[in-house]
Amino acid sequence: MRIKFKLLFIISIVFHGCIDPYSPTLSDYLNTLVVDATITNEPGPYIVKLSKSSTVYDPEFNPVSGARIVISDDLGNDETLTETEPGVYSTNFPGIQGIVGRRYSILIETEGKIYQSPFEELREPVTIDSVYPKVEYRGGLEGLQFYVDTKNVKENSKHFLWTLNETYKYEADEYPLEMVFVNKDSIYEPSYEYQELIKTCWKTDKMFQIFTSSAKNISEPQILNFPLIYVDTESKKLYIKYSLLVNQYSISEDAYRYWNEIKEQNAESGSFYTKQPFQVIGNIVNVNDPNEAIFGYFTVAGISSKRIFVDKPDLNFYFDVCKATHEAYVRWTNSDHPSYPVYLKFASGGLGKAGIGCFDCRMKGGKTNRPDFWID
Amino acid sequence: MKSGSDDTPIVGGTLHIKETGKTIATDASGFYALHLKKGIYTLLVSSLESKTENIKLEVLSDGRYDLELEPKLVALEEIIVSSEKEHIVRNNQMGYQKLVAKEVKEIPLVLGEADIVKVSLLLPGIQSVGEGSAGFNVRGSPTDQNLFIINQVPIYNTSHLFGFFSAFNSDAVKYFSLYKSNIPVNYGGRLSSIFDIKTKQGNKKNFSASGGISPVTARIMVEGPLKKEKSSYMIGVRSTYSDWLLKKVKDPDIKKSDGQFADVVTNFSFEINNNNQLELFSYHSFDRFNIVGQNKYEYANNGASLSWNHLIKERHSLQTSIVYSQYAFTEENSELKINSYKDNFELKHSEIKSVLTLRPNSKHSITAGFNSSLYMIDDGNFLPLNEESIISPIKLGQEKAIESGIFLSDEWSISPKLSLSAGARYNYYLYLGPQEVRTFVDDAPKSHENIVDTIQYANNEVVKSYSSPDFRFAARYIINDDLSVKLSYNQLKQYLFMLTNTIAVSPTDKWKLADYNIKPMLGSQYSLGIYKNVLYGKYEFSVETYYKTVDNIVEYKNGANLVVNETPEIDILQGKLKTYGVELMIKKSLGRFNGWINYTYSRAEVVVKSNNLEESINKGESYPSNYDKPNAFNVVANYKFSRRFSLSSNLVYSTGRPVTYPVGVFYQDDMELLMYSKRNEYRIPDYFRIDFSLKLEGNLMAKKFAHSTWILSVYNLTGRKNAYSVYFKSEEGKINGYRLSIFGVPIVSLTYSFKLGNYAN
Repeated sequence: MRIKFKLLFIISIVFHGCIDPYSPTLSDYLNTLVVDATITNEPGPYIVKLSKSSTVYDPEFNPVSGARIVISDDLGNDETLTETEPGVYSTNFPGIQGIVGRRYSILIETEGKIYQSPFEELREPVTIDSVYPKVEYRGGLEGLQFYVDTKNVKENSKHFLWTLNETYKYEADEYPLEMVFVNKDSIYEPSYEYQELIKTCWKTDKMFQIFTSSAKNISEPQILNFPLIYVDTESKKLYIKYSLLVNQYSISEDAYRYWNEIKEQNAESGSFYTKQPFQVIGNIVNVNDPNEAIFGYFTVAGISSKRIFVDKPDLNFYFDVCKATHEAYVRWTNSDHPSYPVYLKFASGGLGKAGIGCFDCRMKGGKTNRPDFWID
Repeated sequence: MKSGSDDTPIVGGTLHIKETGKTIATDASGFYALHLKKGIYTLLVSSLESKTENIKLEVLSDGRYDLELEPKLVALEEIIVSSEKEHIVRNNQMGYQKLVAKEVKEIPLVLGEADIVKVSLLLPGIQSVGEGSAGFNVRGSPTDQNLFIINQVPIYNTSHLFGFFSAFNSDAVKYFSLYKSNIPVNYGGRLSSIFDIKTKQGNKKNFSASGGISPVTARIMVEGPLKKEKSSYMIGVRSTYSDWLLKKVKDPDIKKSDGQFADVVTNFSFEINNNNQLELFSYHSFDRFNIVGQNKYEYANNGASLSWNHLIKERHSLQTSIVYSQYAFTEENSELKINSYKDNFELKHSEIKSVLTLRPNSKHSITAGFNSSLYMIDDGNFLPLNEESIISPIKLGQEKAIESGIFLSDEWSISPKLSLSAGARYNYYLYLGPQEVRTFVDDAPKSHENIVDTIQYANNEVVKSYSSPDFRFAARYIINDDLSVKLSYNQLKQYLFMLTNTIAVSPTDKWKLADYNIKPMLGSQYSLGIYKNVLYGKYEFSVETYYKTVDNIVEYKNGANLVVNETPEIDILQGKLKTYGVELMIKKSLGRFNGWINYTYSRAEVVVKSNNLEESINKGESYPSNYDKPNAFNVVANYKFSRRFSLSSNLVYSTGRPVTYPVGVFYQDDMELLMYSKRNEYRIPDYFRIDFSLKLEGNLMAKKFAHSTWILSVYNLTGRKNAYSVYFKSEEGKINGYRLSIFGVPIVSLTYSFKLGNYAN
């Protein structure tokens, strides 16, 4: 709602202002407890991650082990979670279950201190009406902007948090891999099955971006055309088939405040009219010392999901494709060749060489097994 | 006392009576009053703008003696900032500067825009949050504690182009006075400073014009008599002449942007007779921006004043004014189609004021009077911009209040060495209906849950009233001819503030009145200063210290959204601001080489403490205010090679402003997030800049039609990338810091100015 980057951008260009990397010394390091916990109406197990914050320039997950974590509801049911990995605690079957209308709280006991969240109601999930893409332009290039429509917003469930998972199918640039020089004396030819196997991958990523919206100030109780992510044509994501899974959490007003602040702090960057960043306060407090800063939120939410598939859109694509290069055959058998193995294919009449990443799609982070939900 | 060339009054002219050794100065209308026994005297009359004259005078009885001084033909001894030459030791003013437009034109500024108001940033105790940001932070205080008035008209948005330039055309401005310590009793309503800008009065004898062109604007000022020697006009217009700067940029987004700004001032003065003068003034400024077709901003100030100056019995004066000022903006935002909105705001200020200055004898100068202002604020409507937008319309309400003050002060010369000034101002503030007022549970945080009741008030019904006296006191003791000590104590109240939680002033910041839940701000300031002239006034030294506190300073809860806020009182916290500092200044006014050096050490701290944590900031511990810059150092130097050719340079240094940095990383839902330090625990890098300008005057022929001047200036000569802000981003599992700078290279500009007549006119 402010003149953000654009004004800055104009000023930068007109007055040759600029943005440079800059890493000031940050002497203070706030070492505090961090709770990452969610309970939903979906069957568990529910995972709670307990950690300590890390330094800014060396971020890492510092697990806190050996804590006693209890999730309880307003009917007196409770369950103590089991630590499955360091700092990761899980409920067990058939333990506590998230049920719409009940209220839940978390209790954490570690290092001799007790932390607790207030009871929060599990709100009724609201069905997502549709998720759909539209062709839009960013920086002069085409891409798909995804939107969500949620029409039947209920009085008790009007604050939303969306998280996204994307999956896309892609192929290696160069197919097939016909010859590999392991070293100058040893060659092998991969089988047809192997060539086929490493050609096609599916990659699934959790989107490290959150979206929040509330129907509180909206005239009609519905959320229409709410923009989610934008997928550009500078990557292969949309080139074959793309799928987006949208998880919609119905959350309390306080949880909405928390996630919205997290979203804003995360998005806030060097703008001309910048607000002061600040500590975002969660809902977990030290029972004996309310002044102790605890980070994180115990989110209680009704969840509904929708997955959509998008076929290759009729757009121009701008990603780089690797091309096998022709080199003298003698080089691959020469002991001077700088690195083995050398990967080869037949290309325009001769043998071409390229990096393994051009032949094996797994090198780009994908997996060759087709996900269960995938529909071609 | 007036100027012989154009009949305009000479302000701050001095009369020195040889026989008694006494010196007095003319007031803002050029009047003076002297008490002499019968006899023969020699008067030595001088001013900055005219030749010094020796006048033999025989006093027989009471009477009026008008002085018409011949203007100085050649200002060889050019003075840059004249805080009343010679008077730094003698006058009663502290924390006071007077800048004369004529004399600040060499000072290099961004894009060659002569900007008298921006020059104040080179004075001690005045800072801004960053380059190109609107507003001035005087002695560590927020920008809304400054009152800007131009010929009595208060201006609520004082900047063009988001703050790169001030909204005052220097061609039309004669001078401005800046008060930051002991503020005269006739001013009220702001806690930090008064920027009192006076425009030129039109030339009563001849037509004259001046103008110029810089990379951004073109300007023209015309003046002349309406009726010779009786009445005159002055009209000044300044405007951007094209968007060429934006159009030059290859980026398609920027090509789609455009911006415009302009301002117009008119001033008509009428001399009805020797004892009555009328002045009719108007002011208009506007800005319009369209950023990439997605953000549109328009804002404008409109104002007018009618002032009547009446001279009673030749020595007392009465100035009565009616003033109107209006400020409005509209904003359209279509960054996100579904959230596209428009928003507007309007503030109307109507005021009547009357100041009577009595000089019963030579020892007393009494000021008495009143002023009363009616504020009408329309917080506007928050509306969907188009059919696609899902924003529901919100009417944000209106506010109305009357702020009145009566005042009385006496400046008493007890002896030639000791003078005292004491005054009081009684403020009366009424917050009026129609209004909907929410009351909250006592001692509980103001929140939606704690609303007890909503009360409706009818039109003009008093919702809340605040009243209290301000006491102001100042003393000066002259130790010897070249050395004096001054001290002052000031109390002030402020009933109007800017709703803003961004660090720099933005064009969508709204003004808000003190109301049922939000208390007015109370300020008090102690200052002490030592003033010394060295080498017959060739060098002036001053040291001023101050200690200032503000109660009920407005701060905001973390993350408050102030654009659409129907209940601002819930997001507002009131705390205490404490600022203190020492300001050192050395000035050389005379000679080929002149200028000043100043150093300021100052601190500004805020405490917002409440019984509940939710209404405290920083857990109730004190933190540096956004404007706390402990060390500041400025050098302004001018060297005149010849009458036609001069060189100027500025050097500016200050400690970086406080900032909140991340001090840890935590994970939520596998996202890497930053946790922040206590408020303003860190600082951005220090600020440093050197500017440089060359001025070439046209030929010096006495008889010529027009005179021209070229100024070549380089802003930020070293191209230092001064940080405007520092921020952090999480990118691929790493946290990267970035520094944003507005001017990354030296900015070169060429400005052409002309005026009718020769060099000296």
